[in-house]
Amino acid sequence: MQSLLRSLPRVALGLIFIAAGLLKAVDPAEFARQIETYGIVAGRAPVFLAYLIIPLELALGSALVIGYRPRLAAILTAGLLLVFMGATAYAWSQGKTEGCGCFGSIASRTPGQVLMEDTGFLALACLAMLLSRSSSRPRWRPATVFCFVLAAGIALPAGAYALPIDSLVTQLKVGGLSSDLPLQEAPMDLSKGSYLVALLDVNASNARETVKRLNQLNGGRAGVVVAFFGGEVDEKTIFCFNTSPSFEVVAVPRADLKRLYRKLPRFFQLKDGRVSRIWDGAPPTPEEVS
Amino acid sequence: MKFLTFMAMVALLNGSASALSSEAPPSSPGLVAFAPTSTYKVEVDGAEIRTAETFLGDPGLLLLGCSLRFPVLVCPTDQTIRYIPQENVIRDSQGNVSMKGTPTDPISNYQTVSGQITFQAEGRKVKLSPKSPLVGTQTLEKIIAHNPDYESRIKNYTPNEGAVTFLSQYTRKTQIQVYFGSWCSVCEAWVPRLVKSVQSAKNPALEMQFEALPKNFLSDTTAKVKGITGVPTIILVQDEKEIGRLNGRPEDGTMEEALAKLLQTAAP
Repeated sequence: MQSLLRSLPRVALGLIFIAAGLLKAVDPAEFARQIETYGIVAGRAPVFLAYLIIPLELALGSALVIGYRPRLAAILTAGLLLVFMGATAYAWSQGKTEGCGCFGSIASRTPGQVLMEDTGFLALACLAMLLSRSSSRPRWRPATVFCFVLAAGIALPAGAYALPIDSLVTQLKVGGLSSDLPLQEAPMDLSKGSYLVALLDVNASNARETVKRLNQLNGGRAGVVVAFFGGEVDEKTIFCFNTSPSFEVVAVPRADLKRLYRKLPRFFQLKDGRVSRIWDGAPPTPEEVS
Repeated sequence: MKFLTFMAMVALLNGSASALSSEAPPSSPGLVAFAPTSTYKVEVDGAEIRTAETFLGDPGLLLLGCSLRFPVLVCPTDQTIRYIPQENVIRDSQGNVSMKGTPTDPISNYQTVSGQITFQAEGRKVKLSPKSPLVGTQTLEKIIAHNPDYESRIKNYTPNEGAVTFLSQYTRKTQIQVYFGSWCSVCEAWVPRLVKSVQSAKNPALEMQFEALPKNFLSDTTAKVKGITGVPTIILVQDEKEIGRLNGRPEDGTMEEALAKLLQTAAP
């Protein structure tokens, strides 16, 4: 019983780190973007850091859970938390108030909330450090698990977008209701009638081709096309000039739209307020819509 | 933005419906109509050209008065820049512009980077970008002139009948102060709904005022004084005292329902 209580902070912190690492691993590009918004590193560095931090979090989390070099793992975890807190505080001081990417794009919090939360985790790490016992005998099983998780932490982000897990990690699911989607800014009632909804990146190099295909579908069997992009109103001016959409283009807050995709563009059909089909990467062909 | 609908609206307002549906610059003689647009800001070599005039038409965006040798046509279909001989640009008494003949062959291509169009002409760097956001006290007319989507959204919105009935029968003189950003996507959706609801109530006791805030509004003096932390913020004032406010989009229901509820709870 005493042993269980002693290991509780370590295991709890480990599980939190594994959860945080997994949520980032399924959408590493978003984590890299969130690092970039902190304004500390630029260029390719955010991507490099994203692909470094994700396996590190998973490895440290698993080391804590399985008790592999627990004191060292707790010290490294505390160090990583201090780095996160420093970065958050710096970004906050620079007026960047976007929530951190600590738990991927699923949970968004303010910098103040993040600092409070990390302080709690830091306390757990300190407890884990104090309560952990060092083992003198070689433990090959935990070492094997640790190495496996580390390898998985490197491989998972690299192949994340090839995994068919969008319905698990986004709010967009076949059968879902339009009223549950963060698209309240739509100028029409999406709960009635048939719509082909496009989630677009207005800066994508193939945006013209995508809009051209959507123009052909607009008003046809797919229903009325309506496109959403994450950004502010003025971003659509040049986009609409360049691409001439024959359909409504609606700006919505990026954080809202992000809950519906990992990679853009995405398309889905709404029939009487229910998601009937989803397409990724390119609009459906006229034959694909009914 | 329903681009073609907007183009049709602008063209019809200006007495011409010909600014529609063709994709390439005209290849046969004839008149092509352009309608004035104030959506774009023109900069040449980094300096804003305040005398520049912009017109939208089938072939693209026509730039006049931007100190280049000839009027310039920005063609989105092939992302090229072309000249139009000065004598081929005809201006009528209403300020509309038509083009006769065809533009020249491309003089350069344009690039689109971060929501801006840039190109080289006569060795100078020309930049087209959406005009700066509105700042300060505004009228609805000014807001619509800045962003015509507000007009279509007001027109197409059907407010909640019960809330409109309440608003129409409300007797205390109330100022509805709308703090918004012309750049803000949430405002573009919800402010027109509020406007339509108040317009539908036809109640002279309810007076709307609009204050446009800049993008970095957290450091804006007006926003600081009013304690605004997000846009849109709707502040209700009676007898020069704030009686309540709505912050951002309503958590559930419509804007007019939230407004009616707030007036109801604040009612003496």
